[in-house]
Amino acid sequence: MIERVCRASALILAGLALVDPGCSLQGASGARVRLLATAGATPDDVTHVREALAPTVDVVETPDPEVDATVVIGRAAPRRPPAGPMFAVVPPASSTSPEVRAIELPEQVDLESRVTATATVAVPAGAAGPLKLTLLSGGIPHDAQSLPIAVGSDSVRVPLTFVPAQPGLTLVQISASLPGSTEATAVATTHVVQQEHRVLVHDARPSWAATFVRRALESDPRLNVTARSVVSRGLATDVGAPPALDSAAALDDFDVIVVGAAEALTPAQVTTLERYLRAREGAVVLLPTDDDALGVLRPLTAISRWNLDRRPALETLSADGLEWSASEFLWPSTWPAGAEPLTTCPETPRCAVWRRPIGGGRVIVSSALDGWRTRAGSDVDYAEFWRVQVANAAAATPERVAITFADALVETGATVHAEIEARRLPNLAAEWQDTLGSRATVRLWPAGAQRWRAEWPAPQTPGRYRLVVASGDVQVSREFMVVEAGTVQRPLPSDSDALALMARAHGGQSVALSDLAALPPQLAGLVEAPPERVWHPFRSAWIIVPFAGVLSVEWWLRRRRGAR
Amino acid sequence: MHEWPESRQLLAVLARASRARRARAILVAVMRGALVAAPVSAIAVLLDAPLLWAAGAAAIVILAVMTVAHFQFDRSRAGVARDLEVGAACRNVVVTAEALLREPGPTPAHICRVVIQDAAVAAGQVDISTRWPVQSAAIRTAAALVLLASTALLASPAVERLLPSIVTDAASAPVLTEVRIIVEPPDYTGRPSETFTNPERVTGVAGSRLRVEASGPAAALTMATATTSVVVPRAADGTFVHAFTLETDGFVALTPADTAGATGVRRLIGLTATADRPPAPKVTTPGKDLFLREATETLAIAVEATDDFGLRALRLAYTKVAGVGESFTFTEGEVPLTLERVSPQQWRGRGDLSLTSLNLEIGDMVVYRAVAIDTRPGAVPVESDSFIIEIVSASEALAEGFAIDDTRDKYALSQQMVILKTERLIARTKSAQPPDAEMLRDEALMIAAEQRSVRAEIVFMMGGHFEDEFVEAAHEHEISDGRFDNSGRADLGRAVRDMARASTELVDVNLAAALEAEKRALEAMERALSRRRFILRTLTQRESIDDSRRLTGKLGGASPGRRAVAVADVAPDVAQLRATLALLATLQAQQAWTTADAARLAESGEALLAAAPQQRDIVDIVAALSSIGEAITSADANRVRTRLTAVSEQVTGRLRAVAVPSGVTGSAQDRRLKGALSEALSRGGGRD
Repeated sequence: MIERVCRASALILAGLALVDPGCSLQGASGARVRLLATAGATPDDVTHVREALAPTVDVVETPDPEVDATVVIGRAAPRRPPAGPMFAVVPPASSTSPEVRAIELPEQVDLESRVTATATVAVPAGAAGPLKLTLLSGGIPHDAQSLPIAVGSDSVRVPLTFVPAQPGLTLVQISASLPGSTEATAVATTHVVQQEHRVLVHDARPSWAATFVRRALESDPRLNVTARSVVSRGLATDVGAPPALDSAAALDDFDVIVVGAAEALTPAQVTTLERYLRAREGAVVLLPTDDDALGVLRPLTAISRWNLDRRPALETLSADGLEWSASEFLWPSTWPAGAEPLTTCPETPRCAVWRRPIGGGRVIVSSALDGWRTRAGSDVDYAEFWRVQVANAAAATPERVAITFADALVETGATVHAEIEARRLPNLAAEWQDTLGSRATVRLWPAGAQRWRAEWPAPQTPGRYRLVVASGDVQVSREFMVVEAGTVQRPLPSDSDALALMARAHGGQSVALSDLAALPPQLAGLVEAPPERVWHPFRSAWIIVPFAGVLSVEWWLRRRRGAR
Repeated sequence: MHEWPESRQLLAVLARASRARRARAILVAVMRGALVAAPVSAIAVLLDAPLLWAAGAAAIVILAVMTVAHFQFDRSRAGVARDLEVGAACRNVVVTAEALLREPGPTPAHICRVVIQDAAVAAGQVDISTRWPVQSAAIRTAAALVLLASTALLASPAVERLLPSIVTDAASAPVLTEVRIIVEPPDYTGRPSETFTNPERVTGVAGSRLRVEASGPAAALTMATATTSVVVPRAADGTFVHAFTLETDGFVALTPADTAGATGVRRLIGLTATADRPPAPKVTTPGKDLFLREATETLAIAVEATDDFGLRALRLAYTKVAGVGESFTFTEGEVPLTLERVSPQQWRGRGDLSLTSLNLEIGDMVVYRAVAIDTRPGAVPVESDSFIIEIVSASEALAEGFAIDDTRDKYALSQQMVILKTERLIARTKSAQPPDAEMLRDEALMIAAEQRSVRAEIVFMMGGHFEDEFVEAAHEHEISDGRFDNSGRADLGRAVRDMARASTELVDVNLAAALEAEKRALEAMERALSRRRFILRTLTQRESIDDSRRLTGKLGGASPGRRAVAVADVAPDVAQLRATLALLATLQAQQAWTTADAARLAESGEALLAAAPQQRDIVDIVAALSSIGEAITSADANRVRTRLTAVSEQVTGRLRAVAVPSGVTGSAQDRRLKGALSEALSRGGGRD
């Protein structure tokens, strides 16, 4: 009987194999989802999300162009929005401890300067007691403040001071604590540079204003001042080897151009300065001395008419604690669009020194004609004001080769993103180097006019590295730092609104970590009709196993009863 | 069976063995526990845990080890027999005998007796004290307990210095263990001496004697200040003593050295010299200027003076000023005072100034002030604010306290005004109520003074004055004779002389003649100050013009000027502070420090002192740096860490004060975006 059954089974299997039947299967949704953790997400959060989604979707955590959606876990939006649909899972903020939301720090600072790092710290609702903030660099406290928390405020914004000690990539740590709560810390980076900015002072005719500004600048070790004072036709007094204001290319070596008696410039010189502003993205400081012929400066100032205002008494002008005074002003009849004040004056609701952007460059105009008269007072900061303004303007002028990291503090396993801007330099080559001499070539991808983009996996060994960009004899480098993943606490931004907006713009939505149940159905719905899979079991090689099995049983039974 | 002598003998041996075995096991357990507890206790001590905690931890560990040993120890007699067999040639007979004694079973008695007899013989041959040596175990246990107890000594600073440290290799460097500075203020201050032990800064009155006493394992000591450096010999008692006078702010640096000449960590102590403030005298009564009609009264004057250490004298001095015009006489004098010494630092005095005895006339004045001298040797007298007593005319006396600024009034005067006032006075003499003679004289004198004031302005404008206007007037003909080529100057000269005449006539109350002279002076002035004329005056040699320094020359000879680019250096103290901050950051990141680190700190401190030896905060920073070096040398890790943080705050605070603010914000992309936005808005118009 069993023999027959086995024999029949074998025949049936053989027959079915010939027919090759197929059956339709309605499996899982089939959606492939990538998890992307940003600032504010802990490993536990990622695990929690993965476990919640795993029954419904396929979860991957590596970059995969084939994924159907990306789920961002954290409180910060990703640097680059994902290509496909995006969902966001936002962990809750701490309800007992302060959180450092953001640290505003210039990307690059001068070694000789005093830098203000502005920390935005969120405080839990109903928090009492003073909030203690400390800024540390290299383990050394640079500034500390203890400030009361106003009733009803949920965050404070505090400027803290940092003085660089040496050039290179510098980590700045902000610590915030409340009585009885755990301390919150966050780290930001800045590049400390020690460079001499080149300044050209061009006096279209001798003027006191430009003379005293030049003297102030010459006493600043950060500035290398070249000057020309045109004293007569064909006759000038030079400091160094200043170029003429005829060629924008000749001005490329300068970060700032200070023009005295600006009303005496020729239209051609004004055009050259405008080209310099747009192409070099430098800064031009205009120090007019009279209201005659100021129309020639219109391409730079966008002002058609000026009003001379002689005040009966000196008026105090202040900027960041620096004060000086003047009594003669040249006010624009209409303020140009984009003008920013650089000084304030309590008596006058107008700014005596102001700035206007032109392309990537900046024009700084002094409307105070006679500020130089009171420069010598013991409590007058005329020279200091101009040193600060010109040094800041020079520092904002991009270098001939500028390297910018998306984040100079990279975790192992992450990708380093850099952008390079090089002006009039052919055949750029780049490589990263470590302190021991190891190096690896970095591929540069064109990203626009005179711009390149570079991406490469961060080295596995934590430490300091530098990206070196070279073109012929010109070589520029900038440091980046690799740290172990999870060892550095970054600011925890609270841009959940931006995250939600980004998610909606990418066809998804933002959910709280505590409300994860709403996410799997939406992810499953990404694949409009779950794919219908047809299963052909007899195309599988494993079908030979039952076929051989029944044949073997049938053969064994026959041999047992003596048959052959 | 137990009654057999062999049995009793065997049981006695087993009992003895059991006692020895148990005693040794206990000792071994305690020893093992102590050995395990010793590192635990040492770690606890090094982590600055209280000694009681360390002892408790050690006791817990020992009890734990003993408990484990207790449960592993076989206390049965069979166990004793088994252990007795180990290492002895008993061929298992003892174990068998013990088993038979415990449970004979079916074994025949005679066989049992033979076995027990053999076992007793075999056991008796075993040396219990050798098999379980209790004495040696006790010694080892005692040694382990001593080791455990010695860990408590790690907390002792003395032992810390003696033991090889985990944070430094600097235990052998010469070091100063104690520095005492005795400040002996100058005798005149009357202040007691002060003693500072291991100070970072010493403050004393300028002129104090500083006696520095240093002790420590060093063979020599170099003591340096901002101006001097001396090698201090070692005294018989092993100390180094040196004394000097504190004059100004500065420092004293103490550098120990060993016999080989190797120097240790320098200790730097800041010095603050507090200056002896001058006394502060003041006139308390009447404490204001007085304008009197007559000098007939006696004025009561009260003065007071204070000083920080003590006063030596308090006087009331006056100066009588008499005369008119440029003819003044000055007479100095003093008013006797009745002194009240409230304290050595505060004196008060009262005196009466008799104006009658001074023979004051109208226009004369007395200037009086308090004068005080403190006890400092060589001190100069210090005067208070001066007050005046002026004898004025009747009209001025009435206006006391309501007069406008006299000087401003004088500046407002002109020759026209003098003429006007003279004409008015003449008119009043012809009025129905003419002034009496005295009043007329007073007012004429007032106009005369104003006339002299106007004349003085003109003389000043001319660049000089006449020593004797009457002598000068006598030579007036020289002017008209053409001695002076320039008629403008001659006219001014005439005006001056006419003004002098007018003044003289006014003093004599000869108003008509005065008015005539005033008008002549006015005419001469108008001629002289005509816009078509120049007033020339001779210049002294010092005032002469140097033509070589004037920007004169021919245009064809002009050539471009050129000079090199000015190079501004970073202030040396700022650069060195920054280097110091970088060094501190490096040291802060380290877990342990060596003498090389202390040397780097000393070098950094020396460079700071070289950059700014007189700046108090720099000296304080250097003193703090040297204290870190000492902490490294004395292997005090906690102090090193605390000091590093403290001095870092000092350095960053100082750098914050001198560094310029950086105002760079935003990236290049932000700036481009702003530029594009600005231009887009410009195309749509600006804003008002």
